[in-house]
Formats: sequence, structure tokens, C-alpha cells
Amino acid sequence: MKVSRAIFAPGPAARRAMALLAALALAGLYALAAGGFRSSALYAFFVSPFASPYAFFSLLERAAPMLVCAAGASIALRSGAMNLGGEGQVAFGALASALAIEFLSGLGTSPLLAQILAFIAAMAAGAFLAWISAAAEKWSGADIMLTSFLLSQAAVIAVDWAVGTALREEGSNLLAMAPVPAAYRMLRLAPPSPLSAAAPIALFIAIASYLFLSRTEKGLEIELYGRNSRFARAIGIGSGIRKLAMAASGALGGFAGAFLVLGPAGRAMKGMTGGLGWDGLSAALVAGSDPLIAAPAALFFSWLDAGARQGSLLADLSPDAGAIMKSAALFLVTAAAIGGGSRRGAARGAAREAARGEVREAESGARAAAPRREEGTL
Amino acid sequence: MSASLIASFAASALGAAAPIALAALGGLYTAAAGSLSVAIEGSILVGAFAAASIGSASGSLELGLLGGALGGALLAATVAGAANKLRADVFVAGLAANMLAGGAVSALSQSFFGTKGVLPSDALGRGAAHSGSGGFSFLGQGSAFLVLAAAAAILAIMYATSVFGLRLKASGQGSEAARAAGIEPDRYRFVAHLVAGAAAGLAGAYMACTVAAFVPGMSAGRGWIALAAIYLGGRKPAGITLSCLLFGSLFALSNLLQGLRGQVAENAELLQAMPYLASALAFILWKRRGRKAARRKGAMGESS
Repeated sequence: MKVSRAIFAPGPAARRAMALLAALALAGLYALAAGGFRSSALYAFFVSPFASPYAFFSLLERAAPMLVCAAGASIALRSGAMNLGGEGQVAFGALASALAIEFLSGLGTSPLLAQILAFIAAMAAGAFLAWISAAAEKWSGADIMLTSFLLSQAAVIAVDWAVGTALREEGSNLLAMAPVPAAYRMLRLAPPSPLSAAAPIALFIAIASYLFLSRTEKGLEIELYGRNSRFARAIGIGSGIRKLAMAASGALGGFAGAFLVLGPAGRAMKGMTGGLGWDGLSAALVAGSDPLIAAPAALFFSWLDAGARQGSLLADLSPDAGAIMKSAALFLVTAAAIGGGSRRGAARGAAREAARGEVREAESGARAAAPRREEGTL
Repeated sequence: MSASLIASFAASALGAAAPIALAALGGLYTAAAGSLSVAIEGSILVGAFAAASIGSASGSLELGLLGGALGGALLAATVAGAANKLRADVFVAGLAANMLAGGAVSALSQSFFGTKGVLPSDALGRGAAHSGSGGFSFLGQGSAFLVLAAAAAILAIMYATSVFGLRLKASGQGSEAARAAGIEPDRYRFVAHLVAGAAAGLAGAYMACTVAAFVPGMSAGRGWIALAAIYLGGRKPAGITLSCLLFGSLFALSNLLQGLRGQVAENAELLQAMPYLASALAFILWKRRGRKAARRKGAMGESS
């Protein structure tokens, strides 16, 4: 009996899923080994995040800003830019939304209008920070990857200073701004759990980002520019499209920052980003820069975080296991994405480009590691 | 400005520049091999942790420094292995390695030392210069600085003058041509990653020496600044060293201003942003200058 070789040559999506399963298996081995080979450790890591509505809703709430960041990172990746400034863009957005809501609530603006304006302010702040890197690239050729990271580092420090010093609530023990009035926070969907309107909004944004990239002219231009900027310029698509993509990416980072302030925490705090920008980028890379696939990727990462947290409480596991497992997933996915079959050519191409030694080529290598769809389907 | 203040500033700038320069020179090997490593950031962190752990366990500065270099190389080996054997994308694998470094260091610190906070090491402190201690001091630096400077000099000389350096550059210029010349590019890329990891690890160990402890998150973006220095320095050891001195001066200026009294001290935290902002600005302006020079060259070529 002849068996089709196709069974043994799954497509990129299947290979990604297999890589994530392998990461889960690694997490299981870790939980067993670190937990003294007790089933309670496995239960704490894998099951307890789903064991109660409160735990599950907490997982969803954590995944929401990550998904929005991932959608933003995906847009930048599609344009061929590696936006490493997610942390700073989230922080800028959080600060802008906190300032906006403080000002507007003081004026007595209606909560809904104030929230909308706060989200707009957050998006503008994040977009501005990301746009600087794209504008600098056009003006001087400075690589977006490095400038976005360096500007983000500065932004995070500046926001932490503002929140913990200049704008800190007087008389408070917290390094934080004054809390957002309860009426101006996002709707809580299942109190007392932290689940807020952030989760459905994040899903909506992921779908909208997917439709923007796959169904609109601008989305196609971004895709074309990301795949081959020389070809794109030849058909009249200028580098302005990269600026648009970066600004959109930063805007979504800022939007995620507003979730942090208007969500259950209800205030801007020092160190509030907590690696959200990096997690969003990682989820986007795992998802092959597809905003829709980023949803399960963000849930998966949130699960690993929640599992590690629960494991540390219930089975003496390290709460840092989440970060380790996320990195394992990223390792496995990048290997799975370009390691075999049809992607081998892409890997070779990326290696050839990277051989020129420029950071820009490393960016394109990263794009090759995050294929969105089969070549030639544009 | 008093002479002692100038001397203090110069020593601070040199101390801040040295680890960035060593990490950048190591990173240059990967850039030359056509496989730029962004895991330098993680290697610095792992190196600092390994140095503090081994230094405090053994009581030996030398073993601490060696452990730092090995720790950094170990992390780099995971990236190089994933890239070479699994054909993983080296950039994404580097990002994963940075994430792994943060999580693994924190978990190991909790497991072995019962803390996720500062991990003091008196042994490493012996490598730093302390005023009034009567110990070794050179240009305001301790003995660990000499190890760092020697490692940086060896890397720069090997890169510029050795057969290994030439083969490394050849492997980065084109795989097919290199193979035709009998060079196995993958092997050179692997070694380049190990060198970069060890250099970054040693840089991290030096940073731990200067504060006689491992401090969580102490790499604080220096690996990325080292990457910027590679390109700001025109991918040449001398240029990279100068770029790192500039970055080191910015860190020293930030530290100096934080030490002042009054309004400046109150807002000292904000000054920590300055080196990153200035690095970004310097990088953008340098690239702009390079682009203008290239255009001028092109225009001259056309007119002749």
C-alpha cells in the first residue's frame, strides 16, 4: 500500500501547531521534574488556569492586550519592519490614556466619550513613537529594529519616571498615578473576575487587522512592500507605506497600553508593561504575523504564564517557567517554520540576505521565519 | 570643573564603555559571518549571573570571570545550534534566547540562592577598583578591566589580521564562494556565535564585578547598544571602540548628573533615558551622513 508523502510533510500551520505541542510537552516535563514527579504539579500548570471561571477569565484578560500588541507587531512584520519598540509604545499609550482620562473626568465628560478619547490619545502616542523610527529610516536609512528598541527603552524609563515621580498620586504608597474613577473604567463582564470588555475588543481588533491586511488596498501595499520593497517602489508604492504600517503597529501598542489603565488595575503604575510588548511580538512571530492566528497564540502564551503562576502557588514551581516555555515555543516554531520542506528555500534566501551582514537583512530573515502564506498567493 | 571630577568622569565613562565594546567586538564576528546575533543582550545577563554564582560559590574572581564567559557562550550555542542544525531563523532564535535568559536566570537564582533579587559576590568585588582600598587600580579601573581589555584587544587583532578573521569574513560574503575556497561557512558561523556569546558573557561578568553583585535586569539594553555600535563604528574594531566610548560617556554623564543635588537628583531616573535617546540619535545622524556620502560618491562617479 502506498502512503502519500504529504502526510509526513505537513504545511507551515501544522508544523507550527506541532511546535507548540512540543513546547507544551516540554512544559509538562518541566512541571513534573520541578514538582517532584507529582501529578499535582501537572494539574497546577495545565489544568488550574481553566479550573474555575475566575482563573479562566483572568487568563483571557491577560491575553487581551497581548493580542492587540501581536496584531500591531504583525502589521509591522508584514511591511518588512521588525518593531522592537512594543514595550515603549505600550507605556506611552498607557500614560497618554491615563492623562486623558484624568483631564476628561475632571471636566465631567461622559464616561463613554472620555474612554473613546482616551483610547484615541493612547493610539496617537504609540503611533507617534513608532512612526519616528520609520521616518528616521526614510530620512537616514537607520534600521527600524535598532531605533525602535532604543527609543522604546528611553520611553519606558521616561514613563516610569512620570508615573512614579512627576505625576505620582500624593500621599500614596504606590508608585502610581491616581486611580481612574470607577465610572470611567472599562465594563467588567464577569465580576468579581478581572474579565473586562478588553477581551472582546481585542478579538475585534485582531479580526479588523486581519481584514485590513488581507482585504484592503493598503494592506496589499504593505504586504507587497514587505515582500519586495524594490518591486513595490517600481509599481509606485512608496516608503510611506512602511511609515503607515509602523504607525498602525505603534497605535495598537498604545491601545494595549490603554487596556492596562482603563482595565481592572484602573491606574497607570510604574513597570506596568511587564514585558507585554515582547510577548506580543513573540505571539506575532509564533502566529506567522497573521493577526487571526495571533489570537490562539496569545491565549497559549497567557496559558503558560497563568500555569506558571498557579504552579508557583500550588506546586512550588518557578513563576518564571512561563517565560522559559514561551522562549521554547519561539525556538521550536522558528525551527519548524523554516526548517523543513518548502520553507528550506526561504531559509536559504534569508541566509543569503543576512550574509550581507546588514541589520536590515536580519529583519528580512525574521520575516522569512514568520511566513504568512504560501508564496505566490498574493 | 575640578581635576578630580574630570578623572572620575573619565573612569566612569571607560568603565561603562568597556563591556559594551567587548560585546560589540564579539557581535562583530557574527555580523561578519553573515549571521548577526541579537542574543548578545541575553548573554550579558547570563554571563553576569554565572559570574556572580560561581564567584560567590568558589570565592574566586578568576573562576567567576571564566564562568561568565562560559555562561554567555552556552546561551549563544543554543542560538547557533538552532540556526545551524534546525535551520531556525537566527534573529528569532536570538529573541527567544533573550527571553530564555531572563526567565532562566530568575528561576535558577530562586532555586539555588532562594532569591530573585540582588546576588552579592565579594569575590567579584575584588575585580573592581575601590577608592581607598589600596588594591589594584589602572585608569580608575580594577583588575577585571585588564582581562576585559585584553579580551577586546585579542578579538580586534584576530578579526583584523588573522587567517581565521579572513575566513570568517569570507564565509559571510557568500556561502558558495567560500565553499569553493574550502571554507565551511556554517562552521565559522557557529564559532562566531560562540565567540560573541563568550565576549558578551565576559562583559556581563565585568558589569557584575563593578557592583560586586548580580542585579536582575542589569544588562538593561546594553546588548542592543552594542549592536548599534557595530554599525555606528562602520564594522571596524577601531570605529566600534570609539562608538562605545561615546556611549560610555553618555552613561557616565547620566550617572554624574544623577549624583548632583537638588532638582536634578529628584529627577535622576529620567536621566537614565538619556544614553538610549542619544544612542538612537547618534545612530540616525551617522546613517544620514553615510547616505549623503554615498550619494556624493555616486554623483562624482557619474560626472567622471
